[in-house]
Amino acid sequence: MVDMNLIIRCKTGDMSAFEELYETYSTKALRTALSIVNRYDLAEDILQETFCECFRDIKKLRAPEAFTVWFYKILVRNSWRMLYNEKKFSHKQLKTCESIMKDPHDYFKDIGSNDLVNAINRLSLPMKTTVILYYYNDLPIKEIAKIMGCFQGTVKSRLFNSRKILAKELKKQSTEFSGREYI
Amino acid sequence: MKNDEKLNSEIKKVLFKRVEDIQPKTGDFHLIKERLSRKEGNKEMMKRYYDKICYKMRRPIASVCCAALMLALLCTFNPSVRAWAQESIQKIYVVVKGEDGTYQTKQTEAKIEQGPKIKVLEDKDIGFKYKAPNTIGKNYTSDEVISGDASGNSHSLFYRNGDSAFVLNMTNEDWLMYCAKASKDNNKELNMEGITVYYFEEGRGDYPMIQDSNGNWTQDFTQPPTKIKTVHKFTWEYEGITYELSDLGNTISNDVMEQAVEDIIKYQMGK
Repeated sequence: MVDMNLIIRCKTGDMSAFEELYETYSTKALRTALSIVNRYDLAEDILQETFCECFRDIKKLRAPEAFTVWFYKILVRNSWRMLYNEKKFSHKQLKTCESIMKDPHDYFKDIGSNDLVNAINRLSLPMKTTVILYYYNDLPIKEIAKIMGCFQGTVKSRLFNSRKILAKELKKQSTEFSGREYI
Repeated sequence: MKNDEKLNSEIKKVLFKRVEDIQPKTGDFHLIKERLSRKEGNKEMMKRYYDKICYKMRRPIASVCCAALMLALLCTFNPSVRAWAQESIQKIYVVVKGEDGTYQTKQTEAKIEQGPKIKVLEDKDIGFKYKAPNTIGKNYTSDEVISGDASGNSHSLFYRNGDSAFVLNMTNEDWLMYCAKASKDNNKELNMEGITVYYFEEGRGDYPMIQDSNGNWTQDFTQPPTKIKTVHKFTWEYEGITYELSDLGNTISNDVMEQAVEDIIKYQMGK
């Protein structure tokens, strides 16, 4: 739950309030961005860009209670934009970048073999983002629809389809699921 | 239901597990603060710079606008400027088919534009590959390739036999075929070696020749033609290229022309 006083203080331009807001939200925001883009260096850039935009435009936020939706909207938009810009690199450039940035924070290495993680990564970007916001950020469908700028029905259908795909993957892994078809 | 819950908890578990150790680097907030102050500074500087440019540009922009307005008024009301603007529209003579079925001249207003530059080309300069034999009909041999436009999309090959000549026009565009299909002058469809050939006639005037400003000889359409000829044309398409064999109004018999078309088609088909 967001602290309203903190948001109101941020709106007045109080730098210590900004710092507090950063401390509260940065970890979750970084993890969300990383889940979406799958690259630590990119996730860090997204975090910086998101907080810069947030601090610059928080004066324009009329209702402090809408902060979470507003903040994640910026985060998702930046993630998608940066991912799109990254894709615009030629393969050669990307290879060079990857070799340079082969970071020690290879967090997914240990669970890279997990089929469910791979299945989540293979989902389309809107589906993947919906799954992350719903399961990881625990946001309600109504708020996800606002963040992603679509109807609630779209969010529901994206979740349903994602679940169908992921259930298939899980079925492969586990024998517990043999009793029921998910498709 | 149990399975749904299991699936939900599995997805949640995986999503949490993959990022549980991740923390933002210490000092990231200072970077953001720095960026913010730099951005504000830049914004302020850009605003001042923009104001300065606007102030400096205001007087020249006003002068340019006044000059443009004066020029527009001059072009609208000055009769000599209006006459100069209308110069390219001239009265010319064209050949049309009269009600009695003969070709006649008619005066009409038209805009005269500089036509495409014509030049002698070698095969390597041509923009597409064509197939045409060296000799067709009764000893008509090809002479030279002339390009009809600068883009290299249409060419003509002349076949001469003494004073008599055919011209084989070729293009990789569709205007030749469109003309052949749209023509209503004695048009008919022929089948030669399995290929549809469109035949039609066209009236053409021989206009007096004059020299243009560059010293090149050109036809003067503002004078009535000295002679009206009937041009016979055969048009067909082969491998995406449209071919048109014309007698240029030299009254070559249709049998000879049909033989020439057949020779070309046979050559194209490799017979």
